[in-house]
Amino acid sequence: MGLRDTLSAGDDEVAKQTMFGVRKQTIEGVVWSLPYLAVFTVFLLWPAVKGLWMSLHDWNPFNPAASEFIGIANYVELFNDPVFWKGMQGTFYFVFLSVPLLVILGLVLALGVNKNVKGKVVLRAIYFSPYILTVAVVTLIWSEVYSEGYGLINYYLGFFMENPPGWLTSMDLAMPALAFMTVWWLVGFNFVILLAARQGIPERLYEAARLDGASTWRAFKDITVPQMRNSILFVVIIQFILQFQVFAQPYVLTGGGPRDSTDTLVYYLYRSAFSQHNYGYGAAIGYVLVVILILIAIINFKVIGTND
Amino acid sequence: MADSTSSTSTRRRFIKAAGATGTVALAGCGGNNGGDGGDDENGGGGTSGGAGSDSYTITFWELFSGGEGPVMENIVQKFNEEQPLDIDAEVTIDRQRTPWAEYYNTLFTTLTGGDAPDMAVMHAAYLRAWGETIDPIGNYIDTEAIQDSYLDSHWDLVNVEGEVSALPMDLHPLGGYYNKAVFEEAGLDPESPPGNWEEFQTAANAIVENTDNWAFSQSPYNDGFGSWRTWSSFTKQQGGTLFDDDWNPAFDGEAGQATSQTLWDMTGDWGWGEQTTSENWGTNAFQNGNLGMTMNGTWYVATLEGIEDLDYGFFEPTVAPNQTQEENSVWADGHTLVLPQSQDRSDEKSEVAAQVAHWMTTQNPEWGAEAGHLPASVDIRESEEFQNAPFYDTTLTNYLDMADNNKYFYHAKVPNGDPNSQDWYQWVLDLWGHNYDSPQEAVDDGITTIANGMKD
Amino acid sequence: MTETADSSILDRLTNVSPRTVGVYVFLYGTALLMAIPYLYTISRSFQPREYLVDPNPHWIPPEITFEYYEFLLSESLFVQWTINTFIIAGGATLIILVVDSMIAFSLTRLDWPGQSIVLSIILASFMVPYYMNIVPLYTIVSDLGMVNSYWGVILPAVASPLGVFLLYQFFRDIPEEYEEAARLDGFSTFQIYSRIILPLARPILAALGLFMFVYNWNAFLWPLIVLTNESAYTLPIGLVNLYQGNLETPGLHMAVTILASLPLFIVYLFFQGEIVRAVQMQGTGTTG
Repeated sequence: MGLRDTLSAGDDEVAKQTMFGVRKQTIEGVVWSLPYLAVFTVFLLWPAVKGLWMSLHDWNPFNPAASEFIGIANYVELFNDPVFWKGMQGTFYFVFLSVPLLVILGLVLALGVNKNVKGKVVLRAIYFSPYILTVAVVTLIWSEVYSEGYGLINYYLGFFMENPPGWLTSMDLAMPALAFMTVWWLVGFNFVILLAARQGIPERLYEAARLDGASTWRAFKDITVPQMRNSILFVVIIQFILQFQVFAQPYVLTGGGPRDSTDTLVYYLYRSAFSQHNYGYGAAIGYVLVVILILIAIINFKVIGTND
Repeated sequence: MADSTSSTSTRRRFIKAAGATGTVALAGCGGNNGGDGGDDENGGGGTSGGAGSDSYTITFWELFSGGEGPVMENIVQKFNEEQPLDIDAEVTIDRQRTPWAEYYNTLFTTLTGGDAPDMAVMHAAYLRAWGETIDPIGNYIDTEAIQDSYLDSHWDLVNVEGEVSALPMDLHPLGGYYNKAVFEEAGLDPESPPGNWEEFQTAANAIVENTDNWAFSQSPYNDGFGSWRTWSSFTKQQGGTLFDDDWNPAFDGEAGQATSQTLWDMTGDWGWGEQTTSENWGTNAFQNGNLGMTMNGTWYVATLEGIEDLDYGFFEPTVAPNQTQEENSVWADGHTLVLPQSQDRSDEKSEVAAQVAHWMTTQNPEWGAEAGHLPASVDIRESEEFQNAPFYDTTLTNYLDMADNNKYFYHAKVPNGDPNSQDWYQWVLDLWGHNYDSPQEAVDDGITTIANGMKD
Repeated sequence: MTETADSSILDRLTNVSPRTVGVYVFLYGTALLMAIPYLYTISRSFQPREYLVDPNPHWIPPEITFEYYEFLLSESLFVQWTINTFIIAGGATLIILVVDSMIAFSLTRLDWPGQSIVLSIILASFMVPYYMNIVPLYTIVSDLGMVNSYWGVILPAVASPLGVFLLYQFFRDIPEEYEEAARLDGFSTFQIYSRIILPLARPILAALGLFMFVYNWNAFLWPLIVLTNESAYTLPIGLVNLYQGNLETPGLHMAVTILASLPLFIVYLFFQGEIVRAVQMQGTGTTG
């Protein structure tokens, strides 16, 4: 169309503007990014890189100059460390239990509330509310709920069964219990984002589909999902990143038990770095985690795809 | 233009916030380095007041909470007001408390950043593992002169590799506690707690048979570390070793296996305790009158005193079966005061800090009287305040007696790792809860876990 | 609607489909399940000790006591800490909103070489576990003289890549036609940012603001390490420090945790209305 040509002509005009031979947009691009990048580089990038450096050393936190360079020795030791693998197993299990539920429940709630439901405002407030609680509060509340002898759940279950299970004290139930608690706590985050995304889809698309006689499912499949693709991708990746780093919940509630069934990678990192003062080893665990997460992110990008 | 005002107002908000933070930074860092200027790492504003040797501000980090918190607060306040040191300068203690759970993480991080406090509380068990980070206090005070002001049992606590690393503040050993009402209900004499294995066994069985209550909990919090206190005491009483000379965990010998079997049976065939790893089942049970006996540290008194209708008593936890060892058979650790390494602190200042530490650890009987710990000062026995503590007769005299009889062994000052961490001892709890197939499996797991935890 | 009240209600009741009922049950059921745990805890924070250690749960306090709250409010620097936390969380949030939207804008609306590399590095850094950064970060903060300063807490918080990633994903969805039209009209880059992108992004900015405020309010370990003076503490830290993990006073423990979240909850309720309004405005067809 004529308008497109005109528009792109204008675009080229802008693109061609240069200052000192550097495209104006490049300068602008850099300038606009600078404030964040400055803070980011000093307070996140540099420590992260330093961490990588530490992982290649037998790092002495109190006398860094005396740290011995040992190359990938930490990583080799890690791969031969059964505690590491147990933590890996626990982490994967936790992610498997929590992430799909976090995303799907968030999506379902967002779509549900998006309709003309009475009491939307109250519902929205409630769904997000656990998110504002800090981990200390969450674990406190749920220790009362899950307690084997004194907990809410078992008090009521006790009317139906002889020996209600120990939710946090059973090797089979502990991790699922932590995962469920985590979903309760964090689903609000996904809910808010997916709701904002859903509300950003123009109604006319749905009207057109209705006129065409499309079913609700078709509308969902062909309009909702594609239109929300970017935010779904975001939510999935963020949840992977966050839940892979699970630490506080097992640390406070189960101490990695019973019998290390709830041990996780970051929990092991914490013990290595802060209890054993073996910071290089802890850093190595951290970087293995980074690699895993990068792979997961790449897979997600490919599978869920991007709108380009 | 409309747009620039929005950015200006944002800028104004920043400046206001920055101003506020600037003020806070000044307030916070005032006088952190009273002595030599050196490298002033706290950039926000210079040192207030403290010039040269006319006054010293000693930054002091501690971790006390619950009942102990206010006691420590008062002690510091007393010092700052009375200025009891015999020197020509004003000394102020700048006390900072960190929640107990994060205390060592915070201390560790700031030490790596070079921002150590002048004086800090440290559990004796850490003195070897954290050895690199502390400046042995023996370097700054005449140890021979002050040795006599401390009880022997405490003085030995702070000797590491022949050096006086720290000054002892208190000892908080393990003790046995029993519920007199439960004893009565079981037909036992409430004034006559068990003194050996036979009596212990009789009492426990009586409780199980004659009442609906539990007989014994190895640690009321049902936690790993607490379980270890009891477990290791029983093992030592049977002549076992916990660590060999090279610091390898060596508690899987005969004594260790026997203790494990005993604990296993307690929640197994004998039915003395609930077979669970559920947190705190013992605390609730003991207070509700559903548990007869338990073992816990000196600090338990503060809690127990606060519960109405609870008539409790104390017994020495030397009730292991087949006991062959009397001395060094009851677990004990203590709080000590250390001087963390710091390049900014002059020797002069370190000496002042050492004197502050000496005063704090020998002139404050309320530390025992109100918090329940066994203070380090040799004068303490004579102190009226100490003797007037409500639980003096119940617990303190007994702990003192045990000290006199050399009954304590110190919580291992391992060369590396965190000997107070719960994960080291999860296996004892899992043993109690029968999460293993056999007690032997538990001990083996324990050896592996602790060996891993001490890896460098 | 002009029907009489009676017939309209009857109509609505008979016209309700099973599916709608199902939806309502699900939504309200979930809401109930979600609210129950903390409502129970709130109730317990007003109960005297004997009811708290009773194995039978008491949903309604048989006796109400304010003792835990009284203790906390009188013994603590509650007001000071709340102010501190507002400054830290609020300051961090504001800076984040500005700075993150700027770079997200730059990555999505402007064109320059190296964009994808920058984005990848930012994203990759997000995957580094927090505990690993603490020690090296502390060294930096200490060297910069920011120990015991709010900047030592705020700046590391501003470095978080979450906002950048979130805004990036949302800004991408804004159609290019807007800018092109704007440029034709002679808008400067700044004007495109402030007059077009920001207003369109209001819902997501509100959401991000809420997330960051909550996160920074509740942040515990890092501020604890950086702030060394009790009067500088944030509310959660101050309260926990005052009283911690004493198992014998479960009520106090609960009151601490509730009180630490209370101002945040109030802010949330207020903010929640904002988000709803912003989202509604955006949803009613501003797209062309």
